[in-house]
Amino acid sequence: MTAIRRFLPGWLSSYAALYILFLYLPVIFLPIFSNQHGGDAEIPALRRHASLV
Amino acid sequence: MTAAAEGSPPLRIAGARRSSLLQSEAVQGFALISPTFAYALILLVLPILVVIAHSFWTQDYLTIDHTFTLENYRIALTEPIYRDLLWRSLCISLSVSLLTVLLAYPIAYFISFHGGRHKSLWLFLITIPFWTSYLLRVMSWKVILGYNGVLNSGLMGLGIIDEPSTALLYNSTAVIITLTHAWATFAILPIFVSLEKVDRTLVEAATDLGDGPLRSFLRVTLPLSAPGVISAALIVMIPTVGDYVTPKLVGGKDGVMIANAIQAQFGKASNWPLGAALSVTTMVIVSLMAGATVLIIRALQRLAR
Repeated sequence: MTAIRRFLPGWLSSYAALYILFLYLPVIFLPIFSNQHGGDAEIPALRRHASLV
Repeated sequence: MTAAAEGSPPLRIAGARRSSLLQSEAVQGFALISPTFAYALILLVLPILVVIAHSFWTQDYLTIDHTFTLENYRIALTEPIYRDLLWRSLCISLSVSLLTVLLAYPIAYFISFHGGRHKSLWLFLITIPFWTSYLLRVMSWKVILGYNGVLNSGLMGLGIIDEPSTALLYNSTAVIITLTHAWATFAILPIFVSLEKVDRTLVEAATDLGDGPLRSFLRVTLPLSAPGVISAALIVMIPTVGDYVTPKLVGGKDGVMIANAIQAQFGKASNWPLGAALSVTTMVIVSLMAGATVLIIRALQRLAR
């Protein structure tokens, strides 16, 4: 139990840091990737659409 | 009216009653909330009444036929396409609220119990990403989950996949991920507030009486923070059922939700009455679902005690 108690805040703080990273993902990657790959996000949908047509 | 008439006993009694009525707490309270009440009535109740009225009418191209009919409700409830879309919307919305609350609870707990003097800083850090536009954040997820996006590039760089996966974007999973991100703060804050209200001496008392950390959490902290969990679940669930921007941008054909059908009826299809009937049906089902969620969480809370 002591080990759990000792581990818990550490586990929670790591989780909090990861969660904050998850929240910041779009903010971080939008400026980096929008110029290079932004348009490519549409490719599969266009291909699927083309195959349906 | 003469002074003598004004002073007559029945009129005096009526005047006294009127002044006591005006001074009563109920009337003063009503006068105090009347601007807000009028605002809510005009901007919230009236549009809903207009939508309900439209749902009982029919539309013939540009003209609305005001004859009462339940045909729109028959279509909304029996047509397989609308039934499937409604079912999918409810499933997506329930998954999003469950996932958001599950992910938000530990961080709210961490900030409340272990945040120390940096609580405000943690809350500030959580709210910063939400200063950007909702649309921009949804578009960002297209960049992350896209064909040559961040995730596919990362997985290919690590050698986990050979070619970009098309399974990440344009499906209901993409809608769930995006909505879980978009509504995160709205789940963290109510849970954090309810955790802040938890009396720490009760947790200490539970520990003193022999409860371990997990048992004291399950028997003291979790039941006491249940109001925050209920609020968070409802705050996330109710708007996500009606979200149409996210499914439109990242959902593709597999992630279409009922709100997209409603938007189509009010837009391209030009069938406002059917759109209104779909809206009212969704509203009623969401209200029932919200009520059921509250009852289930309360029952779980009682069981935990």
